[in-house]
Amino acid sequence: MPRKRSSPHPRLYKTIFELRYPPKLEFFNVFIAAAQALDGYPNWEVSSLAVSLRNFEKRCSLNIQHNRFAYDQDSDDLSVTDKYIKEALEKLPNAIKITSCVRFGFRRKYLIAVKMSFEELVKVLDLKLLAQDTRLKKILPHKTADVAYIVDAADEVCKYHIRIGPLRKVETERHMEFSTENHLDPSSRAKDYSKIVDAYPDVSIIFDLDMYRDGEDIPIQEASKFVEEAQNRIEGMVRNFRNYIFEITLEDNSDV
Amino acid sequence: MTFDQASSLKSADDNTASAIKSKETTEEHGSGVAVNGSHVYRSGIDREYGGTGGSKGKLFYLEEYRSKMTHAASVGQAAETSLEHVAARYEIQQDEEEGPSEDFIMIMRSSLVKPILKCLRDVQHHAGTPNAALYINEILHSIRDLEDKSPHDPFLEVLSALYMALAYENQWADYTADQYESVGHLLRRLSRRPFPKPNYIEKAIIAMEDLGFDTTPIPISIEEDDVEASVE
Repeated sequence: MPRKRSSPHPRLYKTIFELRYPPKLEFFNVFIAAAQALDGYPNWEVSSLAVSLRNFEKRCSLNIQHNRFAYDQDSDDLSVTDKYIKEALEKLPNAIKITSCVRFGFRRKYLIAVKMSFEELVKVLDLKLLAQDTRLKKILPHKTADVAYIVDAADEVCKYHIRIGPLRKVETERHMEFSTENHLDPSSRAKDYSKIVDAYPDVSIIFDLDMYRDGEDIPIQEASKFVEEAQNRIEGMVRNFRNYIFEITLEDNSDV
Repeated sequence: MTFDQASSLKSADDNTASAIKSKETTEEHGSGVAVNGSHVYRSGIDREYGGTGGSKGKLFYLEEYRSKMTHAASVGQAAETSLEHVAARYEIQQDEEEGPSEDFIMIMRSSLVKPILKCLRDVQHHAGTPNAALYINEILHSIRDLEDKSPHDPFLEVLSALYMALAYENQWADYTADQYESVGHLLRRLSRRPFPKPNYIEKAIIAMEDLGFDTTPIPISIEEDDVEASVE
């Protein structure tokens, strides 16, 4: 009997949460104090325009500027994500005296390693994600060497920027945008980064999903709820995309 | 994949919403598949396929058959069966060093064989009527689609036999609902195996013949080279 197949598992590589607010000159007086209010970042760097807080062990960082703060994590540890974003949302708005913002954004990058060649993966994604109309196909040269699926979408509240595509190992480094400066200890940075790059799959699908909400005067209290919703939505979308792309069933249930 | 930095989250200044894919192409040129001369279609004994597990090389060639074929299903598919179009596709196909992966075969098959199975079910209600042509046309189109997109799928050999049995001189009009039902079951069973053994393929085609499908409606021509090679 044919054995049962399971779809490959999407692995989370990067999470970014950004909150933007209207720039004000007085912010420069409170940046340092605001940064001091946050625990969990043993390393830091300060310039005249920004503060960068870093945790090399957990591979996460927080960057505070006059018009935004952004949390960046290069690992798949969800407990770290929850803890550090929650802390930032609890402490920073008060510390930098903001009550509203103009944009929330939550973005994640996943890779699904596949057991097929890049050329095969291109064919699969072409078939699954792009139009197969005969007239369209006749316009293109016969061989499709690479594809990308890029969509800007929206629902009632949020907007989405979705990018899906096949990656060779040599391309993966560029697309993952690992923050070496903020997330790797300088004493072993080159060696550590080399290991990270070596561990990328030979052929994979990248899911780069960015969910955001923008507006004139969004209450800062809604940020926590947004983060929770964004995590759930993005996880669900990746799972559904994965199931759709790797679906292997010959049973037709369209009219059942 | 190569595209620009589209997301707005990387930096405050990097807020470009548009994302335009730019191509990074790595051209690969295979040896191509000779399309001149006549080709041999013979399920189960095709030398390129026999004993290899079906993972290397083209399995069969339909040009000669198509050139002799009458319009299949009579639903305006002449343009789609254009011989020039088919030949051009073969010319750029290549023998890959490694055969297709199981995942690739099954994902492509899942998407492209499912419509065939559905049409074989739907056509049962219209067997013996002109309406059947709509479903038969869809089946033939889907077989060509699979042939184009997953040309190394060993299951294609069975489908090509079905193609001949349906398309040649509109034989599709003569088959009954029971025959369509039976061949649907047969294909469904076989399609679950990523790389069926060659004898399974052969048995499936024989079973199709036993069901009354004429899979070799025109005489087989074998080139001298092929005969010599087989003797050696």
